Amino acid sequence: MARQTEVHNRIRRLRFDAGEMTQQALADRVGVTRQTIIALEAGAYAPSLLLAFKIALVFGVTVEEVFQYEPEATMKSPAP
Amino acid sequence: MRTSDAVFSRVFGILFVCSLALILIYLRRMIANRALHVQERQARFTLFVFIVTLVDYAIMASVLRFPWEPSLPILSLYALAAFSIHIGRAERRQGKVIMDERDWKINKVAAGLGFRSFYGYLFLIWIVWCLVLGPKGVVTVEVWRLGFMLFAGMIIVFTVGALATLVMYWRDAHGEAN
Repeated sequence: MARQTEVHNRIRRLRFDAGEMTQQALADRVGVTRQTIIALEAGAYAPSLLLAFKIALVFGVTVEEVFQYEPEATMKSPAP
Repeated sequence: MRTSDAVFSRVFGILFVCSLALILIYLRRMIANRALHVQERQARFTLFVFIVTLVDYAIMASVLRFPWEPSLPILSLYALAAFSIHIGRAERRQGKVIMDERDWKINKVAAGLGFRSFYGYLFLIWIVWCLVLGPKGVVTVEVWRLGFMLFAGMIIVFTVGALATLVMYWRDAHGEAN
């Protein structure tokens, strides 16, 4: 299994909400390869700030609505 | 038992032609395989050339028991890995994105690993050299041996880099279910 990053995202959900946009279409619009979109969706790659903004811009949402930062310590700690 | 120069040249010539044909066939396959990343295809091709070179070297060393001196021309087959620049050229001409930030990151890490292994190799080989021949032997090392050492080091840089590239893409591929 690919190592997960601490940055989670809703790209797959947003793609389907945007008229079932394909990974290739999104890749072309943000200027990366399809494999990078695949790695992003799988949580195996944390994008640069620039790429994060470009993806958010394509879906017309803010960066926070696409990407969420969840440090491992926060995920492992028990709920109060 | 050492072979004559004529036999050596003939066997080396046949091996070279066969290796070149194999390498060109594999190059065509890698150029046509658009399912993989350009960098991944280049790494696969580099490793393929490395394996062909090793096999050729093993054949020459074991079957013909050739002396050490002609090692460099046999290892020079590895220079054919430079053909990898043709992989992805068609996509680039079509205006497709073939390298993005993730690929550059992988490239940087792989190159770093390659050069680190080169430093390790140089350190190791000079220590061994010094232990075997003593300090005077290191100072009076023959030019062909020096060239052989550096060329072997260059092979290590590119091979470790290619291997690291493949491992990193392989890791990412585990999340490819779409």
